[in-house]
Amino acid sequence: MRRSKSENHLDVAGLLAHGSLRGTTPLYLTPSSAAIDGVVLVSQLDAIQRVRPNTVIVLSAEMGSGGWLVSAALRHAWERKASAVVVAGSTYSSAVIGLAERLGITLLAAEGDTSGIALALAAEIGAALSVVDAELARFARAVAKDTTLGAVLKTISRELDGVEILLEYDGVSLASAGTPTREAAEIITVDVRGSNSSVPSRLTARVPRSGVHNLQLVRSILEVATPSVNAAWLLGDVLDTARAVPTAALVGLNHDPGSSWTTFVERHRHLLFQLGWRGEEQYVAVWIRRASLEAHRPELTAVLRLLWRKVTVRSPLAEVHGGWLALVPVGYQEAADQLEARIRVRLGKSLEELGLGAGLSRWREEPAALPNIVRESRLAAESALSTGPGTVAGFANLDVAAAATFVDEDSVLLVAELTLPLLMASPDRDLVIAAAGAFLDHHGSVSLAASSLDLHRNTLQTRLNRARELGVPLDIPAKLLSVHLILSTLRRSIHNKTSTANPGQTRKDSHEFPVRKL
Amino acid sequence: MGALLTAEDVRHLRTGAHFLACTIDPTAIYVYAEMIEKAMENRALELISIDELAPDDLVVAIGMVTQGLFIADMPPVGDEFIGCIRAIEANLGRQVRAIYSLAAANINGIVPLMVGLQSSLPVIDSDPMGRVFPLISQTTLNIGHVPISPIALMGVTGERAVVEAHNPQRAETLVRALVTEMGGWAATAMYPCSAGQMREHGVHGSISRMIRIGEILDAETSVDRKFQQLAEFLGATRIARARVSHVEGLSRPSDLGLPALPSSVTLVDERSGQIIRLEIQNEILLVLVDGAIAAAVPDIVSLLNSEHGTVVNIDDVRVGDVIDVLKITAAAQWYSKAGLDLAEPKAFGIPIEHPRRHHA
Repeated sequence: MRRSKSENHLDVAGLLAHGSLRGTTPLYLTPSSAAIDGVVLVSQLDAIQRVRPNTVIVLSAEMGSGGWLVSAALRHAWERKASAVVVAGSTYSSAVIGLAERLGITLLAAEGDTSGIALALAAEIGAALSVVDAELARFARAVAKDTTLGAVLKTISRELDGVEILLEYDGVSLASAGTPTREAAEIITVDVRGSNSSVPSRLTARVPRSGVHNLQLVRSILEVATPSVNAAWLLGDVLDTARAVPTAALVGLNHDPGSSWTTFVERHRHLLFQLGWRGEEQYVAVWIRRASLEAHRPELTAVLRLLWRKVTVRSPLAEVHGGWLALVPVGYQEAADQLEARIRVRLGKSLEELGLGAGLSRWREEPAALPNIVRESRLAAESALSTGPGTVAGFANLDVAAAATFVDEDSVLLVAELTLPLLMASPDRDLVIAAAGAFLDHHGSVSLAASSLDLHRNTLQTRLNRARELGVPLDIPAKLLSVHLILSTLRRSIHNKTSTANPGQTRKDSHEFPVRKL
Repeated sequence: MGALLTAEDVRHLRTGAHFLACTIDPTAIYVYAEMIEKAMENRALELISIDELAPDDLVVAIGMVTQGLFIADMPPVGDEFIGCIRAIEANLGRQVRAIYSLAAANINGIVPLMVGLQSSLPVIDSDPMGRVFPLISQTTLNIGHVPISPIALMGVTGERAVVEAHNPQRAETLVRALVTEMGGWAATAMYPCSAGQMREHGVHGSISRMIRIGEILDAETSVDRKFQQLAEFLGATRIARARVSHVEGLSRPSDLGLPALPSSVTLVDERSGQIIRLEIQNEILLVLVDGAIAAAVPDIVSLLNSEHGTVVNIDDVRVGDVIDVLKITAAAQWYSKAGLDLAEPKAFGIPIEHPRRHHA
């Protein structure tokens, strides 16, 4: 659209010099020439309050030419960011002209009927717009030929001289094209796929302010491109869904975790062949998991598939029960490490904003049973989410602490209610649990535990004695493992409940033992 | 029992009536105030509250209607208003118990006091405008659907007429035509109604308000003190203190039926650079600050000399004068939908809605 951006741009100075405003007399001209996108002939003052920016306001002859009327018209024109005000030729006081100067609005006087000026200007704007429309139609034809989202975004960017074009969902950048600008930019945004989702995705152009782009035209280009963006996105999603069928189907096949890949292949040979899985290839499974099933947003699959392209385009992402799964062929350990790093770098922030976590299975030299690596990735994802959204965890890096992730918290809490009733009913429960938990974390060292809680040793000792009073068996070695597990679960439960509040804590220089009111 | 007015009250009333109208020519107000003061040497002048009358008592509005001729140029003989009251009594077959001002500013704010002295009728401290409007149909009684007629008129040469027209706008047209024929002004008595109707639809405390304004403005105090007192008493706000930069007088004709003297005054606030424009037709109808509406009829706009705190006559405004432009909110009835229909700028041929129209 190079031609339209420059040659079809109308402005006051240009039209005064050799256009439809040539016959008017400038009463006041602003230092910089305002752009002209439209013209209105108004016969009522109120009509000015509805005009769009960059409009030339022509006051009709029947409005009269009273100075107050021009004053009020100038004011309205200023409020609406009009390009200029054209009034019938008359003797205007210096005060009216002074007001035009004060408000920074070009004021022109026309000899005779002002409607002639309005008509000539409308024709000139119409001619310019028809050129723009032809350019938009050419662009629409060009962008309609693109079948992939990347190609559509590139075509848009190319049309706008390489400005950065982004497709975003809920603040997450899904795809982009063009060169990011470092200078101040105007952000032009249009919604896409708005009807399918509670959170609309947005197509955004970041237009450098120093450029020559007509922002209205940029918006028109984005609007014209929107159907192509939707179509390409939808097509990509449909193709990915089809390609992801073997992955999704794999999750549904029965497999004994203890049995080998060979046994599994023998049992499902025909189906595996049909699905295209080959026994001799090594894979790493990647599981993306959301924090809760209730938070499911149907459009997330399409969004994640676009994000997944930043990691790999060959292994499709399948929507499965409890998350999304991809099986990536990986031939050696370094490639598996690179895959994990790539997911962390390219998806980590987006996963965090979407409230998701990702887990990867181990890479093995020998081909492993696919259901086994799927299970590993799911457990790793579950463990990653317990650390926080955005975490990417490899199953190989899980330590024994990960076991706590899979403990049934509700059952442990029930056991605690049954076996430690005094503790559970105590108003200072949270402080005692924190103190006893830290004590066990540090192998029975009061000094280290007090330091970790930022408490005085004596304060911690007081709280440990309080724990013993409440029936916590801190001194029976055979029960310590169970007690530690219960206390860890209780701490996690307290942390989840009070994550927004700051529980009352005593400083290490204080000997007080505050009682928390429940 | 009402209050007896003193000569000092009359002098303050004169200033107050002048302030609320910024009249073009205050001579007639001064002439009447002088006559009233002289007449009061022999008679007491009683100002009563509307509540002191029985609900069925007949009361009538007293006022001058002018059409081009300044009253000071052809002063009344003296019996005109008495004649009008008698004509109303004859027409309705009832005695008038009290009179009230047709307007709460300008000459019609003070004339009823003279008529009260002449007729020995008490003057009610109420009026049907709460300010002054150029048209006799622009009243709160009209908003309340109180009939304007019968209207009794007596002109410059003693000619009389009684107009009976139910439509107030039609009555206006007839009265204007008659006044023109009668020589340029006529004494009138109109809106004969019960004290109960006046209590319900009138604006009350009008005359005592003008007296209090006069007390403030006539006092030997600073301009700022006067403004402060006006702000406290009337809720007045100062739109600008600005220097007159341009005066356009009689530059364009007004619509038929409007007894107007259209002119514009442009001022520049030298401190802020704001450009202030006053649109005038008898009264100041519109104030634009940088083209935006700062006040519009029915708001009351008045001008004070920034140095002395005295009222500035519209006709005496000269380029270079520094003037305080004040805005005072009119009676609440005027901001109702019916009130704005009668008295917003559109009613004066200015195609602008009052900013409060959307809240009416």
